[in-house]
Amino acid sequence: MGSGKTVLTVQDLKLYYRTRKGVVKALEEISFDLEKEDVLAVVGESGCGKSTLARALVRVLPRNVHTYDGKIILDGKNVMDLDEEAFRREVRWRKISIVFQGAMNSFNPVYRIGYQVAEPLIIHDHVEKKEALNRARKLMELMGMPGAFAERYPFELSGGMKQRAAIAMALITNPEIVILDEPTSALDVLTQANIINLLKRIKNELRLTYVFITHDLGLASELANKVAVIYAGKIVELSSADTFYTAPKHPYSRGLISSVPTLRTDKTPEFISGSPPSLIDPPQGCRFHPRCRFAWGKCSSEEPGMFQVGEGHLVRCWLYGGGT
Amino acid sequence: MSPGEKLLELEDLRKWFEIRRGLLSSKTNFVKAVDGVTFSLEDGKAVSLVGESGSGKTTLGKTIIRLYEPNSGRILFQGKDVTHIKAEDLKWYRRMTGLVQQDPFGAFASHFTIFRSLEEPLLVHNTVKSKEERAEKVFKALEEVRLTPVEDFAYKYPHMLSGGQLQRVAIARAIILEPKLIIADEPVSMLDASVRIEILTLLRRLQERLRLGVIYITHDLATTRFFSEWALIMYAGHVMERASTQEVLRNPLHPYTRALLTATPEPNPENRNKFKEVPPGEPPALIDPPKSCRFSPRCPHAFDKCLKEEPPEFETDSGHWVKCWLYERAEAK
Repeated sequence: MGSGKTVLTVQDLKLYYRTRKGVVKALEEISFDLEKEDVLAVVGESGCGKSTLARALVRVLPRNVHTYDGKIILDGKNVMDLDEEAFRREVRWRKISIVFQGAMNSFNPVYRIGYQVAEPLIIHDHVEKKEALNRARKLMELMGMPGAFAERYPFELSGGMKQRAAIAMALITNPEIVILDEPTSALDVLTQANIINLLKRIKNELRLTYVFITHDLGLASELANKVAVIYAGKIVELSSADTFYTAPKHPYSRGLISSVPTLRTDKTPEFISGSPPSLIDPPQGCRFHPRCRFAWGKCSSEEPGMFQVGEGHLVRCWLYGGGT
Repeated sequence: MSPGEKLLELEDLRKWFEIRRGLLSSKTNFVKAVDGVTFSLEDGKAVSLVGESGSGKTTLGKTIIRLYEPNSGRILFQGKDVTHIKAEDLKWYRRMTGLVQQDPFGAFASHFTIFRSLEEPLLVHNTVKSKEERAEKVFKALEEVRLTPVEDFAYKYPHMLSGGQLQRVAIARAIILEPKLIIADEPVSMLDASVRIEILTLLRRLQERLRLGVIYITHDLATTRFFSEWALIMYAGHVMERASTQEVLRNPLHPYTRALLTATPEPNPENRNKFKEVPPGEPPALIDPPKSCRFSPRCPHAFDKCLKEEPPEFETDSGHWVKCWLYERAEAK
C-alpha cells in the first residue's frame, strides 16, 4: 500500500469555532501526507476533533467558523486558495468525497435510491439523467447490491444496503480520495464485517485512498496502513499501522490500545482515568498531561512538538524529545 | 440466599408483540421478539445476552424485569413465580430489580438535580421514611459508584455531567433500593472506549461486593469475557448457544456464534491484508421468521434438515447448550 505518489498533503490545518462560551480550538497543527492507496485511520475519543477533520478536508463547515487555515494540497495545488464556488466545482466530490457519519439515514425518503446515488453526476458533471442512472446502477452492483434496488425507496432497504448506497454515492464521480466518517457505526457486527470487506475490495479495484475516521481501534486495523491519533484537537501520534499496533509510543495511544477488550488474548483491558479537556480553555503544556501517568516537570508548562522517533513515526510527547 | 442458589429461572419464555395490518383488519400478526428462552442464573453472577439489533435481547431483558408481560413461559425469581404478578407483588419485584439503559443523556429528568433523581425511587417505594435517611442513602449510592466528593455531584443537573458520569448515576439509581438483580442494557455502547472499561469494571465490582445478579445486554462479544460468567447468544428471538462465557469464546459451536467471533474486529495490523469470512444477508423479519432454524438461510453449514425443522437445544457438554442440528449426535446425555 502507498504507491509512492503523494495525493494529499495537509499542513498545519487549523479550525476554530465561535461559540457563546468562547472560541473552541477544534483542530490545531494538523499535518500529514497521504500516498495513493494509503488508508489513514484517524482515531480518538468523541469530541477530539476527528469528525471536524473530516469536514474540514471537504470544507463542509458550520456557520460559526472562527478560523480556518493551513494548507490542503491536492495534486500539488493548495485548495485552501480556492473560493467556495471553485472548490465545489473542482474539488469536492471530484477529487475528494465523503461518506458522512450516519449517511445511510440521510437519504431523502421520497426519491428512489438510484436517483440519489446518481445525483452528484447530474449536478456536478451535467451527465444526462438516463446515463447517470445507468452508471449509478452499475456502481451499486459493484457494491454488492442487486441492480433492481436502484428502483427502491430508502425505507425499502436494510441498514447494510443503505450504507452500500451511501458509499456508491461517494464514488460515483470517481474521486481519488474518499473520507469515511464512522462508516459502520450504526451497523451490526456481521453487516459491519461485510461492509469492511467491501471497502477493502473496492479500494483495490478502484485504487482509492481513504481517510478512515473511527473510534474503534480494532476496526481501524482492518483498513489502515497509517494511523493518526487525535487528542483534544491535535495529532499526538502519527505512524504506520504496523508500528502503531505493535509499539505505540504516546501514553495516550498506549492507553487507548490497552482499553480495547480482546477475544483472542488474555490481557485484562485497562482504562484511562479522567476525561478530555475543554477545547475552549485547554490545559497549559501538553493537553494530555492531567491524565498522563508519565507526566513530569516540563509536561505541564510547555507544549511538546512532534518528535520523530522512527521513519514516518511522529509523537507529540516530551518523553521522546527535547534532549534529555 | 446461600451461594449457588438460583436467583432467576426462565422456562420457555415468550414475548410476542401484536400488530394489526390496517385499521379494520381482524387478522393479527405477531412479532416473535423472544421465542422460547430457557436459562437460569445463580445469585451474585452475571450473564451476557449477546446479539445484534433485533435479536430480542432488549425485549428479553425487559420481560425479565416485567416491564413487559410474557405471553407464555415462566419467570421464577428466588423460586417465586413472578410471570404474571400484579400490583403490590409487582412493586416488590420492581424493588428487587434495577435497570440501567443505553442512553445516559436521556435517562434523567433535566430539571431534577442528581440528588432528586436518586431520591425518586426511595420516595416512590417509600422504603425510607425520614429525609435524613434518604439523603444518607443517596450519598452512599453516589459513593458506591465513585462519584466523589458526593456533595459536588449531588446538586448538579444532568447536563453538567459527562456521559460516563451520568452512567454512574444511572447505576447508583439502579442499586439504591438494594435490588438483587440488575439489567444493564448496552450500558456502555454510547461511551468512549476508555470510559467503557471504567464503567464495566465498576459494575463488576458492585456485582461482586453487593452480590448482585447482573444481566448484561450487549452486541459486543469482546466485553462479555471480563464481565460475565455466562453468555447467551441470541439470534432472531432464539437463544442459539448458551454456556459459560469462557466456553462460548474458546469453543464456540453454533455457526452464528462463530460468525460473530470472526466478525468482531480486534486491533491487529495484519487484519488489513485479509478478508473476513462472514455470512452475507440480514436477520429475518420476526413477523414471519423461518419455521426451521432461524439462521439457516445464512448458514454456511445448513443441510436439508436445517431448512425444514427447528432444532431443539442440544447439550454437548455439561452446561453448554446449542440450538443447531449439527450437534444432534454430539449430545452428551
